[in-house]
Amino acid sequence: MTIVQFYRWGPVIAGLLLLFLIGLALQYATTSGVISPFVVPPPADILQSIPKLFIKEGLIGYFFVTVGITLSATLISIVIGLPIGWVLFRSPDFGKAYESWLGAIFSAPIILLYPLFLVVLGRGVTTIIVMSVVVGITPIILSTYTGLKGVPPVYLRVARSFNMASRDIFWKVYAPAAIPAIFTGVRLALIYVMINAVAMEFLISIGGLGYLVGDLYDRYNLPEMYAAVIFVVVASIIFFTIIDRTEKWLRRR
Amino acid sequence: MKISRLAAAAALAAATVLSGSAWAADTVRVANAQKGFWDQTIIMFGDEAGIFDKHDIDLEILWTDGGADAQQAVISGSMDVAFGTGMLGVISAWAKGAPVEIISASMTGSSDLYWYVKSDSDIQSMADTSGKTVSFSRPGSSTNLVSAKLVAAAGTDAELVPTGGPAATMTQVMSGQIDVGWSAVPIGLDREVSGDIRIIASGNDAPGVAQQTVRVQIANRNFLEKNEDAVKRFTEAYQEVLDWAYSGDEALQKWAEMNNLTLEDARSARDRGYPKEALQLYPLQGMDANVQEAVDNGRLDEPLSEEQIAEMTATAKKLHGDM
Repeated sequence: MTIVQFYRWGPVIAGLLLLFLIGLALQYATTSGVISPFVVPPPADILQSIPKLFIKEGLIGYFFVTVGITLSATLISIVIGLPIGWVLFRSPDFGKAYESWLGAIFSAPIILLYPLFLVVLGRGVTTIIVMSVVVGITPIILSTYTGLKGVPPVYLRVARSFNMASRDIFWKVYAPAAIPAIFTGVRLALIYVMINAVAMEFLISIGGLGYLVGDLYDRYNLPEMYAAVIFVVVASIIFFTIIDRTEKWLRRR
Repeated sequence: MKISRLAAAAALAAATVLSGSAWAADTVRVANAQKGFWDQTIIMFGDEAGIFDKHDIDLEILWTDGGADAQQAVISGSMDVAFGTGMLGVISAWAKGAPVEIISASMTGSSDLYWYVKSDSDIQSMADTSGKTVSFSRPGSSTNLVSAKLVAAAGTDAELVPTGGPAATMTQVMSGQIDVGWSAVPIGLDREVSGDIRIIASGNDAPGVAQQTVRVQIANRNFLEKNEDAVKRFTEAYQEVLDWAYSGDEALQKWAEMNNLTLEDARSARDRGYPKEALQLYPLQGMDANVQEAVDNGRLDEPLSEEQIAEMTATAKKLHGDM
């Protein structure tokens, strides 16, 4: 392995090695009785149960339902949140007036309002998506607003000295400078949307992986339940990889 | 003189030690699945009335969010006994080797469950539910099984819809999202009195359900092995609680206050939803049907043999055989 290869793959290998060691420790703890296997099944049992999840439980369907809900809710949050963040930035009075409100909403446990959403929207995937958008939109608005506010004035002065049109200033100065902050918001939104979506699926017994985890728990199929949780993590990793690559692609442009 | 003082001190010390050991009650930690339901709440009233103290049992009750959580608390050993956990979940856990033993029945039949419609609905009985929606709490629950049996017995093509707990279901029925809602006595009975809803079926209307033990009490196997006598006294105390709760109005009064009911409404609700025979601790009934439902429901890969069922119910038989 060359030095370049080591620096590229070293962190990945280190991460996988740590995961393997944790799995090994858990295997020992659960098989030696330190941790009851009826509370946390041995990792080997969890891995063995994965084919059963695909064949018997229809995991793929549940996986794509959760991925679909998360993707839809995040995209809707972006589409609505970015313009609102821009409006708050362009109208400083609105920005000052609502920034603290948005902060309060961001930290509020909105999931507790799920009975209200059920009554208004009915018991279905729409309810989960709408609730997830409510949760996901706030970090995007806030990060867009703070990202645009944080653009150094010197950039703008230089742009104006070149007589750039407002549209060009937006696309060539504001947007590139605010992208890191906006993507921080998108990442946060994704986390909140995914947690909310899976929790709602669990609570109202509709949808994808959250529903599957709850159902397996009720049936006391613990290895399968933990395996299903692994696929929630897998879905999360896929989303983060996509966001990471999108951000890099946009920054290169 | 010195000798007599020494003897007196020794006698006092011995008396203190002996009396201390005689008075030391055994602590039993109980995970209870549903506060407010008669069959699961009278244990608390009985404890307040001092019945467990009489049997040298110091009771600690933890209210959980449903039977699955209560069962998991017992499996993990953080609680000793679980009250009112679903039979199918217990069968599944026991068959998979979890350290749990059934110590007694908790509820036989489903007279506590009922299905209702808005009073202005054109549905008069389950036979009128073709093309309609019929609710249950969550997939795999007892309400799921009973509602499926009710619809099958009625021979309609009603769609079964999970709606969550009684409160959320009531909201969905009243807002017209669901045609037939479910609830458990006493929740929602005030709406029947006020004429907002009309009850169209009881859980016991489903074929075979009245003779099926649907909820049980379980103990952690390790706790049971180390505290067999305490578990026996616990069970005897609970039998006394049952007799006390049905022989007078003290428990009923407490239950009425807990559920904001008048004493007479509480009595009517109790007699309708929880007749004393439904709360009998033994025998465990309809075990073959329970095992078959566990298989149909994906909780078991294959049915248990007669020997396995006998082994699973052996502790309850041993505890109640001579009671």
